[in-house]
Amino acid sequence: MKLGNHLRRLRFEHDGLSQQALANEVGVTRLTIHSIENGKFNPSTMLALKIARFFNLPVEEVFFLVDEEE
Amino acid sequence: MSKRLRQFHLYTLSAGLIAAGSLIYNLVVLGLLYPRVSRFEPISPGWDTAGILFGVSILLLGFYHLLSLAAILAATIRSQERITPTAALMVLGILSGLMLLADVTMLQDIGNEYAQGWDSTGEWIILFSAHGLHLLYLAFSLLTLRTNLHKPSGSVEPVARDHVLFQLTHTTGFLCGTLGVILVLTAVSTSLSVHLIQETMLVFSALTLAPYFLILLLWIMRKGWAGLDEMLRLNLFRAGFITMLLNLPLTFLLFYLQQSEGNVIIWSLLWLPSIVMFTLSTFSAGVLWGAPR
Repeated sequence: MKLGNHLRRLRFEHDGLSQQALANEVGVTRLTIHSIENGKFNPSTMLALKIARFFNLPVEEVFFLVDEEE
Repeated sequence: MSKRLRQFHLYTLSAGLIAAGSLIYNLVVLGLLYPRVSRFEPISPGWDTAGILFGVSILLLGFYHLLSLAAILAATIRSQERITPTAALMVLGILSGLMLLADVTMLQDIGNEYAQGWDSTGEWIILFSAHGLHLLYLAFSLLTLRTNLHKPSGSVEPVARDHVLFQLTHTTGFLCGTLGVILVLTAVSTSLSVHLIQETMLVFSALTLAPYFLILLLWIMRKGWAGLDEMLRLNLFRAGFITMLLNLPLTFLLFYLQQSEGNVIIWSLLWLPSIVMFTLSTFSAGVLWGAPR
């Protein structure tokens, strides 16, 4: 089971927010945001909640579970 | 590039031109002095003045080294570009800067040995090699400073700056560790005498590790553990685990080599630098591998 996310879409909907700008808002590096978007890194609970709070959304609307068979 | 950094670059370039003049003076003095000393010809009192100017020259070179390293580091952190070339230049610059101290020591030794009527060929080799290193660093650093002046200005967030310093630290670590491994392998393969290895390995190991520890100290002073986000911490832990796994077979190999007939003395001197350099290079490589750009 993997962790999926809507980060890229949310950034574009948020006036084309860059990875670096989002990273600055939640206190991580740009490559951490890049790695999360590409599924190479799973954020901690705190980071996931920070990202969700930034977009003013529940965390389930930012991150979701993906069955590997899909 | 910000106005302040640009001004700093311009001052450093000016200091670089003065340093270049100083280096040329040094090379001329050494070139004229070497045949006289090696043939034990009388040295006129006028050479005392030349010696004092040589000392001033070393100071000017040292001052330029400090300025240029700071300027290049600041420019790289702000631009987030050319991290690997900057790390290589920092290693070269710190080694060259440390060898300025060796220049003074070697000249003193040459003076003492000339007075005693002893051969000083070894000291001259180190002196000329060190000046070769100064020349190399001067050339590359001046080129880099000049290139940096044309970089566009732009602000860089503190988080991004910290990350560049983190990458620079571990790139430097990888370069220093790899250089150290090459030194150890060279010592073994060229069949240097045990006495020479004993005399030089500690100094060369310290010189090789110095750039990494200086940059690591800078990173710790700026941010340290607090400057790492969760992904970078995971990279560090993962790199540490991989390093431990790779070090275990190396330790067994070194133990075997140390016990082998004919190798006992050499490997009893080299096992520590081998472990330290290999650990540094694999740990730094592991951190960088887990942290793609």
